[in-house]
Amino acid sequence: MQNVSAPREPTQPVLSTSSTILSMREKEKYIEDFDFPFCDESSKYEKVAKIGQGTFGEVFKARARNTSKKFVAMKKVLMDNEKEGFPITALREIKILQLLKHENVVNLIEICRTKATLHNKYRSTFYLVFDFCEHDLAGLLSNVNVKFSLGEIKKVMQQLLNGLYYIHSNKILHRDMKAANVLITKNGILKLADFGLARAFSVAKSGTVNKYTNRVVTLWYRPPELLLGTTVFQGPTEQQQLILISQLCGSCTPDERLKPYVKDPYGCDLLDKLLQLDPAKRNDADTALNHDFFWTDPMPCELANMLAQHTQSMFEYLAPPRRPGHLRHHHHVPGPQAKPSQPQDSTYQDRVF
Amino acid sequence: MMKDVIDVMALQNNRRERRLPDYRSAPGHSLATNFIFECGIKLGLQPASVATAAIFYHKFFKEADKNDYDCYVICTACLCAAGKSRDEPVRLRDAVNVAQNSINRGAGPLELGEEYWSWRGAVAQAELLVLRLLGFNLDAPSSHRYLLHYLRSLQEWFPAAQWRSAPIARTAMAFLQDFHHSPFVLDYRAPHIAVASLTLALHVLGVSVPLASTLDDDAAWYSVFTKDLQKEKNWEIMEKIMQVYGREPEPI
Repeated sequence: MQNVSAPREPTQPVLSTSSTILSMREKEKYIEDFDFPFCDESSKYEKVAKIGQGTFGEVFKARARNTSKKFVAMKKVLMDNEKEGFPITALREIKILQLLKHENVVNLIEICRTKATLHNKYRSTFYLVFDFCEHDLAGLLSNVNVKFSLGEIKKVMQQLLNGLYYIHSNKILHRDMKAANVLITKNGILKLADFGLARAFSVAKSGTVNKYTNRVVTLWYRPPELLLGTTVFQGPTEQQQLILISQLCGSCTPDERLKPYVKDPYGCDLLDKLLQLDPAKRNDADTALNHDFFWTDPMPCELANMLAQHTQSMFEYLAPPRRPGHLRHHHHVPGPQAKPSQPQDSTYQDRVF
Repeated sequence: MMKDVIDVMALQNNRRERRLPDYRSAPGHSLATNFIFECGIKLGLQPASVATAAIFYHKFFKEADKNDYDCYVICTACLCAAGKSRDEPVRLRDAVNVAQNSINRGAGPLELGEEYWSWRGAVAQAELLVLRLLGFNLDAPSSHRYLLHYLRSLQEWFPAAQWRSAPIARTAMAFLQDFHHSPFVLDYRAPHIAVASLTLALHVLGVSVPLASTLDDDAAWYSVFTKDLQKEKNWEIMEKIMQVYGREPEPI
């Protein structure tokens, strides 16, 4: 196996059709100095902080070293244990992100690579570079100091559905929708992110069924039809599975239990329509956008003013862990005076624990 | 008696073997796209994926010097990258064995030894090189899809008997596919290439589009498919397609 990781970049001729034969040292020098005109080095950005970690790998906040000093998010492409070359999942994500250009979808700027040196055994690391967003929805929701008004909630939902409508009309399924993958800029623009599980779909021809895996969507957020057939709620029959699911999650039909939490009757009605058990009856993004919820007072309103009160990035990854009984326990009260020693870092500070 | 039969079969096999291109003795990159087509078909890739691999190859060597890289390693890497980009991945091991076996005719799969791992490592690295040189822009123009739609529309327009009497679809698709042997495939837009392949097929088969002659400009029938293709441009592409068949050495 050790041969695979041997320095072999660019390619060693297997047939001796190549005209130049280099010594090992010359080869190493050649590899280190190799210039890729269409794929910049990641060192053009300076890492500031780690802002995410998951099965997909790591995400960093970084800043351009050029005069723009622009902030970006860099997502590392996991290449360990990759026996089949560049991972197809990463390629899929790149292709999808290149296709999707919309205000409510995260913007892919470029793909960068590290220099191949002896230090990394002459294997480059690749990064997807995105426009930076200050918050994610999970981070915002976990902070008790962040309070959304009904109009602001409507704006979040509207942007979320706008983004979904756009990606679905481009025949892309996200397959990992959850609050941590919904980013929000300091100006209150919502962006759908993390297309690592996404794929293109075709509209099934009549009489045929598209067979896609149901092992998608972070478990907590899976719709009931994807839970059937999984090993999570193991039961001898689907009926048994259904009983197990409904015992845990509650009734399958609209009921009154949401009412105390969702005061707005339109909001409650929209939720019922989005949580319909039968996927065929569930509202799609377009139908949901036409719901009265978005067209009655208070109308959706911009989030920028509310977010301006918070000078700290809020990401799920950086939020303090929630402990039972300490749900409301929140040490970090963000304030403009908290850390005045970092003026160059725009106005946003990154929590360090 | 039995021996004679076997000898005849051996002879036939021998002839078939000899008709296949010999990549080892071919000068430089003269058979590179033939290699991509042969390996692509052997790997069971769809024609559009093979064409995508050929496009990656042409794009790569638009930027890189042909003397700097082993032609067949890059070709194999292009097939791998094209397969992944079209959601039709091939296993690296299969790609290596198919490539190796096409170069060394009659040789079996490689043992899991030094040579195999060198090949595999080279192809994996070459794939990364190709991706970077393409700037990760893997969207190949889908001229196959355009042609398919044009053919379906034309089929409706033709009287059924006339459509059946000539292999229009097959010929047009073959021209389109073969055009990917040529680096000029990069110079034209997908709908234009599709129309040119279709027009050339109609000319070669001596078929004319019903009622096209009643139009002021008898080539204007394809203006329903693409508005911005001038007659001269269409001829230019058709000539470029025909040039493929005059390549030296003769493609087989």
